[in-house]
Amino acid sequence: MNRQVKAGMTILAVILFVAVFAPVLSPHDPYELGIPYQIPSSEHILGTNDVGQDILSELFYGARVSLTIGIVSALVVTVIGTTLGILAGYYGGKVDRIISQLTNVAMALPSLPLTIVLVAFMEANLRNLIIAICITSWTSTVRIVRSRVMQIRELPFVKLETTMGASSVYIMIRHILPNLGEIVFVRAVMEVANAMLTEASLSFLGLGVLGQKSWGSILHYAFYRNGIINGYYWWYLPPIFCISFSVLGFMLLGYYGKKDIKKKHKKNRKEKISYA
Amino acid sequence: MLDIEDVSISFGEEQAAVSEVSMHIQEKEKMVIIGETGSGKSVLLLGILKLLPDSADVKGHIRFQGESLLDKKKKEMQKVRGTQISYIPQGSGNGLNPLYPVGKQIIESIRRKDKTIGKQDAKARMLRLLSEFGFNDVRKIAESYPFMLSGGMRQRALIAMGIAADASLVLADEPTKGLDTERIAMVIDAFSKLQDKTLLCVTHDLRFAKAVASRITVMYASEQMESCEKEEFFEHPLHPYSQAMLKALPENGLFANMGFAPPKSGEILRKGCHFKERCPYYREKCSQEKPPFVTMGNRKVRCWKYADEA
Repeated sequence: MNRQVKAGMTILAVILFVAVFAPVLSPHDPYELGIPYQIPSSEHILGTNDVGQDILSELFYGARVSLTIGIVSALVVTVIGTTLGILAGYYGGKVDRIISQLTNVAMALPSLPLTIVLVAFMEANLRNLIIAICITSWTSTVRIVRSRVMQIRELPFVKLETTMGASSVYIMIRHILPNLGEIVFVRAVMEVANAMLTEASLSFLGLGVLGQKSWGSILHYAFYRNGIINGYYWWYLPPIFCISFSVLGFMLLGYYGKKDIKKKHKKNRKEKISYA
Repeated sequence: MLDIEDVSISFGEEQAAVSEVSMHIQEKEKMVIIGETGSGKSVLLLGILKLLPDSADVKGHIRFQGESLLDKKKKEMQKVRGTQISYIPQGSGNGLNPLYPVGKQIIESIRRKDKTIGKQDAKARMLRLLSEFGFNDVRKIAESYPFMLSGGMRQRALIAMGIAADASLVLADEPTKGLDTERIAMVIDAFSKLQDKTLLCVTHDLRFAKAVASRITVMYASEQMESCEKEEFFEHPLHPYSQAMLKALPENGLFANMGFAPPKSGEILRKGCHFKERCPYYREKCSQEKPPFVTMGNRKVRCWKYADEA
C-alpha cells in the first residue's frame, strides 16, 4: 500500500469514527438551544451558532449525513454506470447505440441546475437527495467502462471463452468485470467525493434535508445568518475543512494500486547510479 | 465426422478469404491444413465455429456428425462449442485470463460440460489432465497465474483447457506459433496425447505437421491446392507449391525460391490459377482458366499440370 492510500485511509478512518460515535463524542446535543454567537471556549470548543447550538457537535452529526449521501450515491452510480458500460461495450451495435445516446443526452444536461430543480420539487429527504445526485452523475462511469470493455472484449482469453461455449453473461461477470476492477474502484471513490460536494452545495443553497445537520447546512446558516460578514470564523471554517478533508481522503484512496510516487523515483535514481 | 463442402467465405465485395474448400474428416483422423499467412486457414476454422464477424458471408455446407452447423442458431452453437468442438488458439497469445490461476480456469471448462461434477472430482480431473500434458508439479502449476508460466507451459495449459470439456473434435489454430524448437517438441508431445480425438489443425510449421498429421491439405491464397495422406505429401508432393515448400526445409537444402508474397490484388486472383505468378511450371493456360481440383488415386490436386493428364 502506498503513502497516498495510507494517508487517505487515516483521514477517512477518523471521519468514520466520528460519524459512528457522534452521540458519544459530542459534548452537547446539536439541537439544544443556548446562548448564540459564542466564541470558542472550553465549554464550546468551536463556539455556538445563531441559535446557540454547539458547532462541534453539529460537525460530528453532520459527518453522518455527508458520509451516507456520499457512499450511497457512489454505490448507486457505480452499479448503474458499470452495468450500462459493460452492456454497451460488450454487445456493441444497437445496444451500444442506445446506451451511448442516453449517456450523451444525460451528459448534455447541466447537472447542478437539474439537481437543484429536482430537489426543489421533490420532498426534501435523504432518499430524494440521493436520487437527485445520482440522476446525472452515472454518465462518465459509463463512458470509461464502455471503452475499457471494448478493449478487453478483443483480448484472446475472452475470445477463447466464446470458442469454449461460455455464455455472454458468464463472460461479462466472470471475465470482464474482474478486469475492470481498478477503474471502477477509482471511479467509485471519486464519485463519493463528487456526491459529498454536491450535497454540500445543495445544503448551502438551502435545499438540503430540513432540520438535519450536515456540513453544507452549517455553511448555509453561517452565510444566511451573517456569520461570514461578521467574521465568525469558528462558524464557517470548520465545515469547510471537514468537507475538503473528507473529499481529499477519498481522492487519495483512488491512488490504490499505484506505485508510491516518491519511492519509485528513488529507485530509478539508484538504478542509474549502478549502471554508471 | 466433419464434412466441409464447397465452403466459401468472403467479407463484403473483396476477394474471398476462403473459396470452395472441401474436406471430409473421419473419426479420429488428424487433418492438418498447411498454408502461409493470409491463405484463409484461420478464417476457415472460425467459420466452422461460427465465430466470424457479421460481415462475413459463409456459403456451402459444414456438417458435424450429420448436423449442419451453418443452420444452427446462436444458442445451439454455443452448446456445441467447447463441449463437442473445442478450439485451441495460437501459441503466443494470452489465451488465459490473467486474473485467475490456471487450474481454476481448467476446472471451469470441465464444469461447463458436466455441471453435476463435484468440486473434488473436477479438481482431480484437472490435475490428471495437467500431468498428462507433461507438467511435473501439477499442484503448483494449477495454483500459478498465467504470467508465472513460460510460453510453452502456457500453450500446454491452453491445450489442456481446450480439451478439458472432452470434445470429440479439436480445432487448433497455429498452436506452435511463436514458440522455439524445444517448446514445439513439448506441444507435439501434448498433441500426441489426443489419439482418440479428431483433430483439425492449422499451421505453417511443416515439421509440426509431419509429427501430428495423418492427412494434409495445402491452402494457398484462399484455395485448396492439394489434399493427401501425410506420407504422400512429404515423399511425393504433387503441386508445385507443395514441392517448393518442402524444398525450403533445412533437411532438403533450404532452397527457398518462393519469389514474392502471395498475390493480394483481386486482379491476379480473379482469373486462372492463384499460384501462377510463382509457379515454375507456368504456362499460358494457367492465367486463363482456373484449374479444377482433380482426383488422382486417393489424393486431390489443383494444377493444370495434372488436370490435363487426368
